[in-house]
Amino acid sequence: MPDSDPVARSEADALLKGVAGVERRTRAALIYVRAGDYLILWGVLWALGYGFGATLWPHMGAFWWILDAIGVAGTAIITYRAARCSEAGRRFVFLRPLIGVIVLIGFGTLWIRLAHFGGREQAAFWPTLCGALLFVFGLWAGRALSIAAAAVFALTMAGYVWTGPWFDLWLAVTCGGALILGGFWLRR
Amino acid sequence: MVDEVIHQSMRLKIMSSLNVLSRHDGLDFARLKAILQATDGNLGAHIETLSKAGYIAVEKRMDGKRPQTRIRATAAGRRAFADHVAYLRDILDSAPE
Repeated sequence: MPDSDPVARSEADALLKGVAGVERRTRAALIYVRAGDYLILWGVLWALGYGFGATLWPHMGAFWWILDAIGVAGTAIITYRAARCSEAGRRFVFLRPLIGVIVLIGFGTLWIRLAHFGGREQAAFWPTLCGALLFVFGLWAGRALSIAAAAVFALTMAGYVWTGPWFDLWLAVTCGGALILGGFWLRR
Repeated sequence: MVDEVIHQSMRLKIMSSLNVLSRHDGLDFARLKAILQATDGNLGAHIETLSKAGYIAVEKRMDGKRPQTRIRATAAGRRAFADHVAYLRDILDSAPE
């Protein structure tokens, strides 16, 4: 390459700041694409679970376990496809979201049993737990995730207080729908 | 010595973005445009310059019925980017305030 005028310190500083900004935005975009896939998957499962779960009583618990199993398998598939492209820390990248989902389900199930939650509290527990965790994750990964999580949390609590017997249907439409729409929004 | 191909602000940003990805991975034109907040024409011109220098590889393919342009950094491009960032850091480290 030809020689040219030396680069001024201020110009070098501005260029390096530009590089750091682009790297940050690229990482956020990559996280958003993958997070979008997870949100769409779990949004569909929540919509099915809350939409049809109550009609399947007394088999609702088994129905949710089937949905959870599908969710864990789907999470593993999405993670595997993403990890195929990744070189650094490949195994760890593959396992992390999967372990996260299993720990989350285990933690929630444990406390629902220990605290003897009623049906309405159980229904509200999962979206608020996931919403809180996703909100915190979004503080590092990107604010769009925190916005989606805050929407899920607020819609759940609004439904808990105001929707009476329509709470499950409310969760199916609003929380399932919010995750699906949020997922497509992140992937765009 | 300044690498004028990569030193230009938008081209440096393009390389910054592609360098975040793994070696065989690339970005769609539309996503790169969104990340860099660039226009089609501006981004296209700089991609052509980088491609001619051998710093990036451009693959055109069909995604269903939609044509898709995928861009990834080559090994030479990653080296040039790393060298240029090191060069800029040297300037910051050595120059007086």
